[in-house]
Amino acid sequence: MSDILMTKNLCKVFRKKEHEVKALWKINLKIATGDYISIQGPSGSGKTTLLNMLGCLDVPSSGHVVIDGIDVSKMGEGALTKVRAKKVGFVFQSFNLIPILSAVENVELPLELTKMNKKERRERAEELLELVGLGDRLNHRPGELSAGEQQRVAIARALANKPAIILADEPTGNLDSKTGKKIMALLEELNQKTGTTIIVVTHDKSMAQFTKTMIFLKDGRVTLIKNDQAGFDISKALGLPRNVTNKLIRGGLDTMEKLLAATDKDLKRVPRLNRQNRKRVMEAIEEHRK
Amino acid sequence: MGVGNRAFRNVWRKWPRTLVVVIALGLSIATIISMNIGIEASKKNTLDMIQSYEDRLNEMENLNEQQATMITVTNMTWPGGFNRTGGFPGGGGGDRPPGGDIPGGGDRPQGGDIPGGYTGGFVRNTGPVTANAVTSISALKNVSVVIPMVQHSFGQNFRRADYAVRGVPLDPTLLSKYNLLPSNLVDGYLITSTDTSKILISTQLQSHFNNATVGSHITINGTDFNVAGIYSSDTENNLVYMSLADAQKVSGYDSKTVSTIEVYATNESTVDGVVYDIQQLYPTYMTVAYSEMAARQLDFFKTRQGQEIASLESDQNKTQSTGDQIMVISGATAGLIVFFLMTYTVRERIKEIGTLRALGFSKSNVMAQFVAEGMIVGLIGGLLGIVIALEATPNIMRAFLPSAQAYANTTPSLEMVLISLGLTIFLGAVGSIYPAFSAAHKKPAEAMKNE
Repeated sequence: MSDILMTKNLCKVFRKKEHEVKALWKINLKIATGDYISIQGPSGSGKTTLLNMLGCLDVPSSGHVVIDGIDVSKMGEGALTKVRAKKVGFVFQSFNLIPILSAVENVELPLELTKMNKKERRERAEELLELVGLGDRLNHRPGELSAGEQQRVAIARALANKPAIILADEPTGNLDSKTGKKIMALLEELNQKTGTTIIVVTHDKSMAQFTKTMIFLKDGRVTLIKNDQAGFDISKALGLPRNVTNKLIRGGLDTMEKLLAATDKDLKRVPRLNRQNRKRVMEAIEEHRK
Repeated sequence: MGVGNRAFRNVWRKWPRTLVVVIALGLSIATIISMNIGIEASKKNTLDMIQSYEDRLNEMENLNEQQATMITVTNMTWPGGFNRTGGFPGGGGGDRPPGGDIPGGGDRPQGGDIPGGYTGGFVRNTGPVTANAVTSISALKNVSVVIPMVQHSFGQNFRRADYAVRGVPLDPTLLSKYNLLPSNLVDGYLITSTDTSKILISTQLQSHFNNATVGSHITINGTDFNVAGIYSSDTENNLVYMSLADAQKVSGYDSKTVSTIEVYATNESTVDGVVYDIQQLYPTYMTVAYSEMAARQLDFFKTRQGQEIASLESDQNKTQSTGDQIMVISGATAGLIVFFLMTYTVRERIKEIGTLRALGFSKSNVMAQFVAEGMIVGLIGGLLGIVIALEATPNIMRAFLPSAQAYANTTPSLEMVLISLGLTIFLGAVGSIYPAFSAAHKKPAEAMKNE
């Protein structure tokens, strides 16, 4: 699989008077197309700064950022704006919807920068809101939507221009854990359905478990890259959410072979897997056996 | 959704604040409109007055040229005293510039400048001049023609006559050569030598005589007259023209006396000689060459005119200066109002600006959005300003330009309305350029941090 995003010796240094802060130091990443990634780390580790570099919202002090084969690290503001419009979709912690616009108008907003006509824009926006489960909330303004619904609108907006990557900065930070998990599951689903590369910054490990690849940052440096391809493959093969798959893996059912041979009794031994999820897993296994 | 639509919605996002701003903007624009109206009215008034003075001057000069050979003979020794009938020669003149203290208060010898004469002046009738004088003066050397006339004022008011009768000989030869009857007849016909008890009245006197029209009957001093014609005049509009005999009858003169004799010398160079001869012949009468009177009158008028024009121009300059200052202040205020509104708006919406930039909106997109909002505020303020101006221009002018308020047409013209709208939209754009520029140039990453 080709790399959609690559960084080479990426550094960002903030200088305040004589004081120098190395927010990012020699970050080297290769992110494959269609990956679903979380960037984790404590506060001040450089997660958001890295996201800003990857999303062309800020320029590096040194090093390179290559998006879809284009080195954006030396680009001017105008060119970066165009890259953002075409290649990147953003999801923010506080949703950042325009309060005077309805859900469908918010999703249409980035489409104004394309050559689509008004009708096409509206159709695309409605289609995306259907995709995120808000087909019945098209004309509601942000103030009339719940936090989870607002974040869904923001995700639909991020998808509007069919970007190569979606960057989500703490997308569950303003949501309760239940809604947060739904949002992460939605992102996972979109990642699987659309093949869009999604990078999520989070400090919540339970949310990060939904992702395929985990990148850990500390003091501006990458400390660990963990690829959970097995969990991702199981989820994809059985059509199960990652949180359910993760529970199965932690319960010892960590390969497709073990899962296909598992009985209801085996599933009962998996910690924190409730009856509803057991039933769901069994149905998925039986479906796969056929 | 276009920039305009989005801008319009944003403008009303915090509607109480926008409303206050729009009202303030509307008041500024209404003040500008009112000042403009005041200045234009003041200019027009000054130009009209100057034109009026120039017209009057030309009229006087033309008349002086026409009447250069005229001499008037009146009797200033009427028994009954100075108070009412004698008067100061040519005094009076009432409320008109040539009047007052110069001999010849009116603009024509037949009028206020002859003792016994000007209808707009004091009620002052002169004594009789014997009709025999007509024959005697006619016989003098260098005399071309002698015209006996009667002019007598009637009225209750001590200072102003209600009207005056003017009796003139209706000799066709004289009528054709001299302007003895009014020239601007608007209804009826000019009286002729065959008419008796017929009169001509002015349009202004119609209301005085119970809205008399052609054919109406009017009683003057106990004598019944029939209106033959109605004339119009800007200056001599208080005269009732009739035959000399009728005037003698209603004014208390007998058939052998008149109030005035107009004498025309053969040419300008012989006027002084003729005056001298008449004074020798009738030393008790007042004999005055019209040219002499007219020269003094004209000189006085020019002096007075110069003062009036200087005063008008001074007033106009003050009005212009005051109006300009108030307009500049109002315009600057309007611009600053928009500037502060937009600066505050930008400060409030930094995160939104960051979001737009993150979504791929360029600096010019963001700038256009905020300038459009400023222009919409300007447009709404302008519309409100026009409504306020339509209702409150007299009050605004009374407050700032009281001198112009008296004669200004207080309804703004369509052109002014359009210019005002253009101005407010322009001010809205100018006032929002800097805030929009600063909004557009915020770094997206920095803007996103703003809460």
